[in-house]
Amino acid sequence: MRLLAASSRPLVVGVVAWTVASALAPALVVVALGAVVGAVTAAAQHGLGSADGHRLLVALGLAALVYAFSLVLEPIGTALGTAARSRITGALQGRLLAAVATPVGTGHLEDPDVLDRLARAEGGLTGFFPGDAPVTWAGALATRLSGYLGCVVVAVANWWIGLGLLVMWVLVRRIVLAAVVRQATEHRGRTTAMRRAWYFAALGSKAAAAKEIRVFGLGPWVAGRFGDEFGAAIRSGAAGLRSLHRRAAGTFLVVLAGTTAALLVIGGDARGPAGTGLTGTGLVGTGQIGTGLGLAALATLLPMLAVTMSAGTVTFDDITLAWTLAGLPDVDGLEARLAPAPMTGARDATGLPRGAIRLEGVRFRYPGQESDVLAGVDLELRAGTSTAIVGVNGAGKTTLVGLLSRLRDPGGDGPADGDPILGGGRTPDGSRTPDGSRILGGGRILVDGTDARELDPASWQRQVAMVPQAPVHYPASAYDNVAFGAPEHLDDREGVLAAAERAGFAAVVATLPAGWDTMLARELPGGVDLSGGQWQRLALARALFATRHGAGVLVLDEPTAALDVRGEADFYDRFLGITEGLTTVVISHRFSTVRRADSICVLDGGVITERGTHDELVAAGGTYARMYALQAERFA
Amino acid sequence: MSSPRRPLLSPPRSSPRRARRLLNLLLLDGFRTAPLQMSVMTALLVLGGAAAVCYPLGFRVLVDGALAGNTGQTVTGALVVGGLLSLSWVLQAIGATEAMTLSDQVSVAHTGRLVRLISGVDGLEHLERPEYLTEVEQISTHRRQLASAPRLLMGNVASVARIVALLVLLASVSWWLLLVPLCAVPPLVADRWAKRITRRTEDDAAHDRRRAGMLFSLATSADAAGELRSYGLVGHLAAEHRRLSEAVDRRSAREAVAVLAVQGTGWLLYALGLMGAIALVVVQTTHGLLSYGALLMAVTLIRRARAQLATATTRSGQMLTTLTTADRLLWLEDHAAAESARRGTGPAPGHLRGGIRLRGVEFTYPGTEHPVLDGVDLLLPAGATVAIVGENGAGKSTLVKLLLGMYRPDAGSIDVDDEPLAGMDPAAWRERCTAAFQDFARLHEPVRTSVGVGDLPRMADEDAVTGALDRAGATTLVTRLPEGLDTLVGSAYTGGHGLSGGQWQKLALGRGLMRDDPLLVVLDEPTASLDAQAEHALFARYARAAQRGAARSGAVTVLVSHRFSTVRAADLIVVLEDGRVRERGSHEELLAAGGRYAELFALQAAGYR
Repeated sequence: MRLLAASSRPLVVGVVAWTVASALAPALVVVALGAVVGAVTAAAQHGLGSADGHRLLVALGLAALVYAFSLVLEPIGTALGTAARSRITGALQGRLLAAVATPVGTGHLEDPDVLDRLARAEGGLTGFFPGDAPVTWAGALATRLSGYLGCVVVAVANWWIGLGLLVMWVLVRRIVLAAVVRQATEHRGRTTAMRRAWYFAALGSKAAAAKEIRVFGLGPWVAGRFGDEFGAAIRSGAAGLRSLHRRAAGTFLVVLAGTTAALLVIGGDARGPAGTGLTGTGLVGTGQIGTGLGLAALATLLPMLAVTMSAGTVTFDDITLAWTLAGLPDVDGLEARLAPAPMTGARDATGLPRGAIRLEGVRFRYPGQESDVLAGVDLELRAGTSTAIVGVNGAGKTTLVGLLSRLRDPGGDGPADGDPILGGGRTPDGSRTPDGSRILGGGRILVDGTDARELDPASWQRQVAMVPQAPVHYPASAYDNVAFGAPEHLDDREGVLAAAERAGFAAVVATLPAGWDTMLARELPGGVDLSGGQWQRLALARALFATRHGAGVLVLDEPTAALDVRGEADFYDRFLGITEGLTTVVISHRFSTVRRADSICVLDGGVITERGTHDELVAAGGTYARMYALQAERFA
Repeated sequence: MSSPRRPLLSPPRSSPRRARRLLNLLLLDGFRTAPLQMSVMTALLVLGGAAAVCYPLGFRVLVDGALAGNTGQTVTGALVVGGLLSLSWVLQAIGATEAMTLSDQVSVAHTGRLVRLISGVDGLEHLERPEYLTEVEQISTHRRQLASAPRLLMGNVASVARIVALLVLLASVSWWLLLVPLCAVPPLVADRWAKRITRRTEDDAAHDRRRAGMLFSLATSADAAGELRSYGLVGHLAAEHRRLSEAVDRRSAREAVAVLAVQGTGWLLYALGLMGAIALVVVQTTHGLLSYGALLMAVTLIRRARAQLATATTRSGQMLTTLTTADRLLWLEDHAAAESARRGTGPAPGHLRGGIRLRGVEFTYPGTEHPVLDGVDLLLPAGATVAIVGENGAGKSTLVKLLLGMYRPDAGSIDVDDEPLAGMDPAAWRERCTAAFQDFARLHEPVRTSVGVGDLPRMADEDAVTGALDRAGATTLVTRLPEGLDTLVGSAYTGGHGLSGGQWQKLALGRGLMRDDPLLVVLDEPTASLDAQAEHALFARYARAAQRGAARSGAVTVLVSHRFSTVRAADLIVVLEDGRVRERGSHEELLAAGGRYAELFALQAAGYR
């Protein structure tokens, strides 16, 4: 309800009105029809043409109206449901997006707990979406209310039967519902298994792993893994089922005794049609025990007994509701988890660095891992120069640039006055330290002498233009894909074209069916996909567009891995032009690319072991010289 | 020359055979998957339905008994009503749980079947066809409806039972009341109409919805997170997501109003009809033709008839979605069957004597204009390592896919020792192939599984796995993992260990080196993310292994690479250009020839001088 209220007030009013109307409708219909039946006696005696006959006809007309009203409530409910579902789904996803956008870093998106919550809140795992909750809930509530109302009507005629029924229904519903809902929602804690299951389903049905699945004949295996994981996630306890059946059997006897007793009392009080008591007008009567009930009262009370059942009913909707609501606490939970840490740094970083970026003793360890990836890195990146970082696989090169651009924070010693981020057991990138206090890293990064943690993180991140190993493929046009390097300047067409030209992407655009307007996603109408090398050129163009609009640091992570020979040669010919005036960090295993950098560092065992120009390092005869020789000798 | 897309199958929409298959899929599958639940649920539905319909019968007995002062009859009536009400109450509660369990189990079975169907097709083409993907997407979206088919179908049986019971009871009051079901026609018609409106809206909104979904996954994925932040795109994407959601909202609201108008009209007409029926019994009672008990029963029945019919119409609406979804699944089955009908059945050879020969091989991707392979003549000699080089778009990867039987040549032939590849069972042939790709899969499993699936029968064989890891140069990597071979790789799941791009590639290589006696080994840019040492060591080790394989079974290794440092050691180097073989020979021969290879080699070598 709160969700709906946040997204649309008129819809809330509609749902409330509908709930009230739906609660009233069944009782009203029974009463109206009871009035009709009650009016029959007199009309039968005096004929339809008499005043009593007219009264019957009026009652009939009224009943028709009430009945018609009750019938259109269902389609109204459907309409409200459709509107609310769409509203809430959009609003909820918006909230989740805002929540995951809150942390400055990116570590939270690798945190299994965050991913579990995200998946639960979104609803896709189970196929029960929170968007359906309000109307399902309102419907279930209306059903129950109509049952309570039925009890009230019965109570008017005979207060203790009405009260007795109410108590009985509320009680048995409680008993059975608890067992049913527990049975159905038991696997709420098994979200990971669900996520695993859908991971395998996607693996088997998407293009990404298709080649290997065929070469290795993995189709049945993948399907089997899906089944195993899903089976583990939904397996319900036999004990729970037995408890449910026991409860059901017990309550059945209670209900049987209760309803039969009520029926006998009402039936026993009935007298002939001429008896006093509730009269033709229906609801308002003076029925007293022992004085007998009129036909109208019988015609109202007996069906009303069936209506009271709604107060105690347990249906498929209750289970659905339990499921759809199961994810909602996770929305709040996620927001609380990812709420901004008492954040450091408000200084604007625009235009930095002017002098240099210095890393001092930077250490880092991933949450839950036993050894440091970086064990005290000291490194200076002078503004306007290019630095290459080389090292074996897993040396921590990508982690290092992640720290540099503050996608992760080193944590640790912090500025002299102590860093508040260490207090809460949470690092600013949103990932939890396992024991709530353990320090994952240390050291500091200085930008022109200022600790990076004193800079506004978002502002500093914007100073860094990145070409990652796997560039993001936006479901958008080729133009937007480049222009997203600086989303405030989407209309700078000239800049986009210039960046594309410098990155060698302009030639790719010329081959696209709709040129710059081509959508780069095969799932979208008229969309195409690019090859790995083409995406890599696009990513470079995107980064260059960002540097055009202020980013002064360029990070290139394996920028030529997917390029062919010509593309690679072309890239290192352009390297100087591309990096001119920028503080560049390039990571590569290709020494043809690396050697162009003004300065080269070797990252080994979590520290920088060598540093110098290509010629200096080759002359020094260390690790770099050995690695370079290994690659170069094959071209001798 | 344009190669027309093979039209996707459009099987006859209705035939007795198809109806049988649908029934099989929707109902019998339920019985096969969960026989007990299915039977229990059916019984509950029928019993509960009957109880819910028949209780007004007790009213008649009770009222007439009470009015006549007949205590025995009154008690009987009360017991009938009380018993039936209690029964329908308890069965509803139990049935809800049974139905949920059942639909979960059926859903697992369906999704498993879907995965097997999609991954069972030999080719890759279907995974790139939007029409095919739409079908898959729709099945996935409506998976709950599909899984609820047994419940719906059996519910329909129960509905029929209820309606029959209702009619029998009504007929006992007046034959005219048998006309009551006719009143259901307007709501039924309205419902069909409403479904059409809904489907149209869904189709119109599909594009926006899909884009919004893509943006949502993008903005919540770890892979994109760094870039989104460094370009300040987070807010921009959220705004775009909001815009798309609102567009979908507006469509939904319009749809809701239209559907309401249609369905509302249907139900109003229905109300009119039923009040007519009630008026009829009332008038008959005033003329003394009916007892008061019968009147009360009839009025209650007619009022409650709406519940039965409403369930029936809702069900028929849900059934429509379910049937459409089932139809899509059958379509996929037909597609898979048609694909496998084209497949050969011959066995794969035990070893290679001559080699693999391509003659005039042509290939154009369906729906595109430009041939990717345009007359390739080539012998991959048994026992040789053949490097294929060329610029982006030269057709290298396509050639590999053809060799692995994922596509068939449009013209020309591929022969394995003079046996046409087209005549072999692709599964049998692939069992004798292995491969490592540049766009390798990141299998989030324990290392032993992630690598072991490269040879399923030997997956549990620890020596096989460690051997493969060793050949891939990944032994050190694995010993450094906290739980060695049992370490879950990939950080998305609790206890998972994140890997760098190069480390993932080593595992993929290990997977590709699991099979111990392949005839064809494909290495498609296997070292793009590896460091210089790892790359060097890998090829030194691999050369020895390839020699052993060559000696044992005449295995051919096909190496696709832009890295000439790794290419030069190959026995044969083939330069592809514009879909044809431009040059072939050994490194020395090609350098001496001074052609394209020499040019590209010089270009790359210049980076090291």
